[in-house]
Amino acid sequence: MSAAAFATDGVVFASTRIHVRVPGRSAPRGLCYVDLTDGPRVLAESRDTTADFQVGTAVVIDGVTEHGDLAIRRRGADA
Amino acid sequence: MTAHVWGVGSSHFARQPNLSGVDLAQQATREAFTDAGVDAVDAVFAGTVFGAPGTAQRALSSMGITGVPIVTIENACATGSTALHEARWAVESGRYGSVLCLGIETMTAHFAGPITPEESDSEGRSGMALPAVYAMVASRYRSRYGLEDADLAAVAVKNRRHGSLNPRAQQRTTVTVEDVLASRPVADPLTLLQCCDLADAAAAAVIGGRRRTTRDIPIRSTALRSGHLWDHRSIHPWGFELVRDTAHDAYEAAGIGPQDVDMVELHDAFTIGELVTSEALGLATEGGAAKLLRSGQSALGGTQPINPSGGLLSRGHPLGATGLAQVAEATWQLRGDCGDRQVAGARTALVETMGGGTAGIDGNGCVVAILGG
Repeated sequence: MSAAAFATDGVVFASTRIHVRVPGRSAPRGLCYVDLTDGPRVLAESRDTTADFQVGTAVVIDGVTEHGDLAIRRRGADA
Repeated sequence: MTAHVWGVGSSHFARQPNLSGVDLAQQATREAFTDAGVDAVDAVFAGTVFGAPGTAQRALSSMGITGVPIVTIENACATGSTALHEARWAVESGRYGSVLCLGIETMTAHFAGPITPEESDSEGRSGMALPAVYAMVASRYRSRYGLEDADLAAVAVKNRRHGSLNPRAQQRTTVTVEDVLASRPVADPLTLLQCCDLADAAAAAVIGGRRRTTRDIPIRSTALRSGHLWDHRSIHPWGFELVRDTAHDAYEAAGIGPQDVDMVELHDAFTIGELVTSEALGLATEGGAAKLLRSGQSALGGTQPINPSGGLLSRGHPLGATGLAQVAEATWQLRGDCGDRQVAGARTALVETMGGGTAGIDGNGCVVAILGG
């Protein structure tokens, strides 16, 4: 096995806003599976829990959250 | 030789932290033994997901069931039905003459809220509780087929109506679409009444060869698969292919198709689970599951009732026991013993249980069993 790099942009495959609390996490939280443009499907969190991440929405991974999860924003939205 | 279900039993399904796994297992096993007309078996295939080491031996020794091979199986939500699958093969291969399948789970000893996958998995590390896993399925399904909130809610309405007729169910009250949609949001679009509850319970089935009694129910086929690596090129909701492929195996082995099934007990841990699974089992066309609800086909009184027991949405979900609770319901239905919730003329039943949670694969395991006929 070797490390591989993928694009940071992709489209939402599926999404939800989770309202129940799980240990160590706030609620609500936005979670999405994102199909990266040239790579795999990854799980990512939206920092903006009010934003709507419908399936097919173009998104960009723009960092990681304090818990180490990939963070996304809508493509074209302010970073 | 075709393996048969000789007898079944279960505890009540509820949050009952005052009862131990031993207490629950005794209730289920004694009923199954009495029903089967036996006082001993050649082996035990037990199932528990969260139980402590020795859970099965502890319970069985309290009933004097010792000195026989005891194997504990773990296969997530499909644990109990995996025990059935293994017992069927053990009987049909001649390894054992009779096998007790026993599922035990005391969920309230381990959880106060939703189950979260293991922290070593990406979904678990990200705090993606199981309702969110199925909410993602609903999201994907909705984008493909235009699912309405009311269609999701209709699953809970139907199954809770069925559960109101099942004296062993945890939830015995009916609900309306409005009740379901107004209940607390859990993971969009799923609300609280679209999620199965925790339950402490046990269920059991005694499996053996053919005997001279019509009360024994033949097991026409069972199929077990574990998930493949999740194919990221797939456009289907997570888990669809695993259920579809396992069902194909079971139908092939039984020599029947979905149209030949009179009733179904399937894995409705969340409302969307029933819709997607109905399609994966071939009971509806892809995208067509809501029509089963709207037409009444999948309700008691319809041509192919789904979850006449009330399903997990009414029983709750004691993981290790759920699959065998489904088998017990199918057995009672095929014998005509279900009273107000009897599926008229039921001759062939299908049981499906799907377990998931481990990251990277499209399901830990799925079992489809076809009984009767």
